[in-house]
Amino acid sequence: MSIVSRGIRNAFRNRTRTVSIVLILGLAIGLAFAMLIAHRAVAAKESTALSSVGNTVTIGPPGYSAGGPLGRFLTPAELEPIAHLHGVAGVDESISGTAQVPITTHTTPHRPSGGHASFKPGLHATLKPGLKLGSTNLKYPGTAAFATQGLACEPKPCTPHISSYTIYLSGATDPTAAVNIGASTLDIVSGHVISGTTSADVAMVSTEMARKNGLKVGSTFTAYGRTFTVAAIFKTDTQQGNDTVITPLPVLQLLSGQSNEVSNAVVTTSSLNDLPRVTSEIERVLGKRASVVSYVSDAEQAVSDLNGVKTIALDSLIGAIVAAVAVLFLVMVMIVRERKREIGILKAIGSPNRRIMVQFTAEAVTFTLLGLVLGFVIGLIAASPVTSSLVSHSGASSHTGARGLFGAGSPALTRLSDINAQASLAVILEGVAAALLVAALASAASAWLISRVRPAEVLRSV
Amino acid sequence: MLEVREVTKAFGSGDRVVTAVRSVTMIVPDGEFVAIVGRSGSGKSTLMNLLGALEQPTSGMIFVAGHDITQLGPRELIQYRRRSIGFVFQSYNLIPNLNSMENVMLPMEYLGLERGERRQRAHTLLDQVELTGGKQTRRPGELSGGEQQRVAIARALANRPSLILADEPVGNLDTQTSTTIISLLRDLAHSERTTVIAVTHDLTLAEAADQVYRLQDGRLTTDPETAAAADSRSTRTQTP
Repeated sequence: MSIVSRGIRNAFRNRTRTVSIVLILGLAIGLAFAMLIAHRAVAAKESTALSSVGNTVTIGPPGYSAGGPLGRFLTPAELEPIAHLHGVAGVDESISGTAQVPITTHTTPHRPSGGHASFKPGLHATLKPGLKLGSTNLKYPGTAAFATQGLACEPKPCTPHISSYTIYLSGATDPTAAVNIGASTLDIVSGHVISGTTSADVAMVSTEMARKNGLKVGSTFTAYGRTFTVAAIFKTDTQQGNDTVITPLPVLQLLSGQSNEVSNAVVTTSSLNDLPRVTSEIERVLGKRASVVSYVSDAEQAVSDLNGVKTIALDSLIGAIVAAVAVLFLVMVMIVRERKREIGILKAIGSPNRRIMVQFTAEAVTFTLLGLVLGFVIGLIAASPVTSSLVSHSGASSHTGARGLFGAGSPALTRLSDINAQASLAVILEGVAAALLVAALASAASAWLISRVRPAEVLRSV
Repeated sequence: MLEVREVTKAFGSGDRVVTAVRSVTMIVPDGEFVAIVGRSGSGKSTLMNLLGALEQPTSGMIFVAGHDITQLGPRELIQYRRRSIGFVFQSYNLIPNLNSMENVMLPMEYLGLERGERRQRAHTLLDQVELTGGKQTRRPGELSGGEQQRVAIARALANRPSLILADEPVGNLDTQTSTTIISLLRDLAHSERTTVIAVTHDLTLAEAADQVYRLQDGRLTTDPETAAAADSRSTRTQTP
């Protein structure tokens, strides 16, 4: 029998005691494991929330963030100093326009061309009051349901029926910025990206728009009485994005009667850490001439609540590990003291300290691994309710995120308490490592005691 | 040969010094069965611990096979105990969760012998001490006192030591079993050329010894009565 197997066998010498030790260790390790899962889940949520905010600041005309009437649009000259601020990686200026698509059948609902209609937040919100409307020969690529979605009118139902669909145009210095078309992705599937600063009548259309209108790269269509050539076709992830035609900024400025105006600008900072400072710098430079929107403070407030949960989870995790170490430490001290004579005999017949220590370490590791198995089961069962309980008793659950653009808030912040506490492989490995650390620390105590056993003393009483 | 020269062992310091062994000198040839008799507290166990290198003497030298074991370092002391010494205790001191065979195999493990070789030798030794059959696979708790002491003697012989130190080997046994164990130790000493030193207050064991010493207040003297008995038995044994 090897020294390790002898140590493992010794762990079962007193079965009642072994069961008790494993139960106590299992509970401590289970709590530690549940807290580790909770900590990791909350940290992941926090990271997602922060990254969802992104390292961007949006600048719009006065009233842009409050949802009220929009003030005077900014000019490129006013925005020019922003690009030179420390920590600014880029400034994407854009403007929006609309083109009417006449309704040809009465079987579908219609968007009104004005009057009492108002629009959902996003691209529509940056339309200048009294904006010069264009016309186009493009067919509306979306559904009637989307065309009327979010439509507010008095009295309901909307009367009279809308008489035309609206296709949006977006002119931007960065034509590939998805945010300008109310989407989170914009991938070119054919053709080449247009220059955002050219005066050429070129455009980028969505795959849906291209399909509905039979457009390919090189095809043409008309808008605002001008003929545009399709330079690229992009794929995007929202209906609003599909409904939008992207043109160079100067072209749309000219056609929509917004020359030398910018409806909004998205400033990208070099890092998330620069965001608070850059935001306040922009506010200082532009003053009341602009509305500056950043979710950074919302995110910081929201994650501070999650940080509280993380702290509790971490403290409990440390407490549970300390408890496990203390339990195993005391158990091993008790076992070594109980077997002092046996250790003395082993030393007397020629066993070096090292071999005896290995034997007792194997015993401690056996207890720990049995406790670990039980602890994993307990932890896996308890992790989700424990995490939910911790989050529900923190401020994170009451956070709505309703502060941002037109009261919509950041989607990631509105669902902050929706945390999925699951054990990943990394968490399991960390748990195993922590358990082995527990065994090592407890074994170190027994090793120290073993090294102090003097056979002559323990055998004297024999 | 075992030679003890002017060995003294004192415990404590200052005014509280207790001298357990005082200037002990003795020479024991190989293969002798020696008994050291004395009352409780006379220093018997301390002398055994000194011979077994479990304690370092305060002064004096102990030679085993020509080597002064009082000069050995910690690693060499472990080697010495592993290779040259076999211990037999009054309370047997077997490892309770190992069976007889595994207890005997244990010291051989420290020598690095292969498992098969260990098992074979343990089997032979247990046969030699007349513990056979199913008893070889029983745990100490399932054996009588005499049987446990036989296992302890087999374990002491496992690594073919030159010296067996037996501390009250028959102290917990009945008369009949004691007689068997005493003759077993004596026969082993003579047949295996292994020096056996037994400390005891049991006169039966002393009478069976080749040489008898008396330890009183830490001082070792030759016991005249038991020595005479041993001499006469020795004479009878040598007479054809």
